[in-house]
Amino acid sequence: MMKKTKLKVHHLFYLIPIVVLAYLFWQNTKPVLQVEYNLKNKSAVVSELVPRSRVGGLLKDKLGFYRIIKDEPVYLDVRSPRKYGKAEMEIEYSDLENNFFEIGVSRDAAKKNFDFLSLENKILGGLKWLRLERGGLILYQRKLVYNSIGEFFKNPAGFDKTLIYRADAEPAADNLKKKGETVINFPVRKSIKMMVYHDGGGLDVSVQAAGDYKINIYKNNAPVAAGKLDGGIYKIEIVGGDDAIFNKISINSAYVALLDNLSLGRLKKPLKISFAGSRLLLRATVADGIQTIIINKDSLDMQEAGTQYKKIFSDRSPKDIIVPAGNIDLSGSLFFIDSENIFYPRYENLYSEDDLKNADFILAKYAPPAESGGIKTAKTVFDLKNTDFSNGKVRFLLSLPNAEPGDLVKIRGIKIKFTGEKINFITMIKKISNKLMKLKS
Amino acid sequence: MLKHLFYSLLITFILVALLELARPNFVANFININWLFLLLVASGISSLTKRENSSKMK
Repeated sequence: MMKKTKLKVHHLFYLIPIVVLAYLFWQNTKPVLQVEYNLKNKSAVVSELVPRSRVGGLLKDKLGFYRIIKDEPVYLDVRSPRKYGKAEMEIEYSDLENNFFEIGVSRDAAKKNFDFLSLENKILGGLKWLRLERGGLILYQRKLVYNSIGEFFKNPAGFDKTLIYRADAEPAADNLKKKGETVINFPVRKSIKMMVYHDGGGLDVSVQAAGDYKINIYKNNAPVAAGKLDGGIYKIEIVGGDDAIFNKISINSAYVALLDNLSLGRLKKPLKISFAGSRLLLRATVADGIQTIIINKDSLDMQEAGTQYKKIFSDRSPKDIIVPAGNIDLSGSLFFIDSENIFYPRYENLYSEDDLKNADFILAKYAPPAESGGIKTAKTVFDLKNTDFSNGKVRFLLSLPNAEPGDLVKIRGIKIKFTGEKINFITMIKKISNKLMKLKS
Repeated sequence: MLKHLFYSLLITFILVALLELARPNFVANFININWLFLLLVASGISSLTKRENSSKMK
């Protein structure tokens, strides 16, 4: 005869592991995760703002607790239990001293490349130009030229008269008919970004480098696999470690524009490149990099390593730069290897109030923050589809471009809401089996 | 009764520790394992002391 077991109260204790496991599985797979930056202590999921040397201690005033950002950028890491499709950010702050306040989210596993969105832009906030808006994109015009944003895109204004701010737009790229190859045969350190005009077929990028590196190709900000590609403008990133040096890079396109930063290694012979933009920043990385740079017919004497030198131009037309020795970082809008093959894959970014002097149009993606009782609340939404979640962490960056160290902004709260696709039992089984297959292969 | 609480917490702790080892932060993001361990030790000690008390009574 079978012995009947009677359910006793203490048997309920054995539900504890089941409840705990169910809770953990739910937390790790649920489609919405809301987290908050704790001003007082770090939490298990959200880190402190780091580096700590750039962030002040916990203080309190009549508006509540806050921490001051004293230098930029600062980072915030969020441990993410799974991949999410978007992150809605809500940042509460006050006493912003800088014209720009931005937030970025890391895109790659190395957490070196960030996508940025604006939290506040005091220049655009106070601009009295004519304003057209379509789907979050705003066109500011000094005088009425375009009646709609569609009209602007049909007949875009030139590179020299237009600025962009966190928006994607490019001047008309006509007559790009030259065939050929662009060779960057001078040493570039760490990483390089470029935009190329590709007339279709195989896009070949070959690199001779010391150290590990990775090549990423994007079209309209979406990653694409190398190989046969349609004609158009592509962005190429070659990302290496801190010690990587690219000695030679070849691209099978005559039209290549190097973007934003060019970190030069030691040159064997003087380098002549072209630059388009209204601002050029130079910094010698080591004592060997102290040299005199020739820009068109002017010269710029660099006298100290580590100090940033700035050259402002009255127009954005291309200028020739001669760098005799290398070991410097150049920052600006666009650099070209060949002055015969200049093309403008994008407009120059709005960087300071001085830029407005030479501009008639600004294209921006910008929504001003809300203000209540002295505290500003900025809301932004990041698309995380292209964000790398492989090491279970997402890094956010708070940036105050061009700011000198000081009391830059008081941070009063950061809320993040991650949203992803729903995971049901079947998709979970599929994912596990895919992982097992990958491990097997 | 306390003996069963201890066993259930022990099972929970082992499962949770194995999960955390297999997939880092799967547990630590949401549960403080140190607190679970303290709870386990406390329940173990109290189940032992209760047993000793009851055997002394006999």
